[in-house]
Amino acid sequence: MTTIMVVDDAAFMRMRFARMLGDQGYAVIEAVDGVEAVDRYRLERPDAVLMDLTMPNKDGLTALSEIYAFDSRARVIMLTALGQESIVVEAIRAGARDFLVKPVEPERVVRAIRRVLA
Amino acid sequence: MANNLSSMTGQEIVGVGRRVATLPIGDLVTTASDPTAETIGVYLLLGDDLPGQAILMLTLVDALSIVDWLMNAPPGTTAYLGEIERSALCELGNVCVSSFLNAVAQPGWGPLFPSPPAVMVDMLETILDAVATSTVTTQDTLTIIETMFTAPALRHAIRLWVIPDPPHEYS
Repeated sequence: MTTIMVVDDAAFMRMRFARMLGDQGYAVIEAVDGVEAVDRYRLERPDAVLMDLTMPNKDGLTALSEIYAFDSRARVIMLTALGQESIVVEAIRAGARDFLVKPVEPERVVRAIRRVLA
Repeated sequence: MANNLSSMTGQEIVGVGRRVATLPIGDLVTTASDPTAETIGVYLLLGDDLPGQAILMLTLVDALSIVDWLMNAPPGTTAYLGEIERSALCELGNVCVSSFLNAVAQPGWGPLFPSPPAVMVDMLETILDAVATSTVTTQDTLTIIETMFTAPALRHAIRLWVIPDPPHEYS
């Protein structure tokens, strides 16, 4: 089964996306911050990642860079309310495959996941 | 910003006012219409090229309604703000403040990141006291950028305050 890791410090967002992705037939694992995201990615190698940006302990950009450093094939989609151009550029340069700005319709998230998995 | 709130909640939320005011720090609490009202404050710190604070304020009654919307639950479902409910409100504040930062970011500035949000539940005057105390300033006044929103089902307006730190004399 295709596994998606949802990384967000907001329990509400993790719950929401876990439910949505589960309904789409994906297995979901969760991480509460960038530290857990890197550790769980290394252990479980999810097929794709939905990564929030602003998180305590380790932010999404740092986690993305660390994941990309040991897996350049990582499929990470940034999912954040911060849509400033400089942030988008930095994320893409760090290896993000896509960048979605919250609030985002669930259908867009699913399409983005299907695109990176294709 | 109102569009983002509408998109998140599935409700028609509209902006109903915007103002910039400078007032003495001591007047922050006295300007509140009902200082003892039980209030939810979603608080974020700002840094980078726009240091300061941001807080989204709403009444407890309206917060419970908004959580129902965010959870796609029938009206009246949410009676208590537990972990998930507070998290939902944090996300509301995060989207609000991030929308503001996205709008004001200037070419040539570095990226503007807010802190992770925190929820305060207390009397309005206590929340405003905390905001005033957190202000990094050697001056006696605060500048507040206020945006207000409402929706037909809300009893009171939601207020977003962005309070930039004044320039530091010694920096």
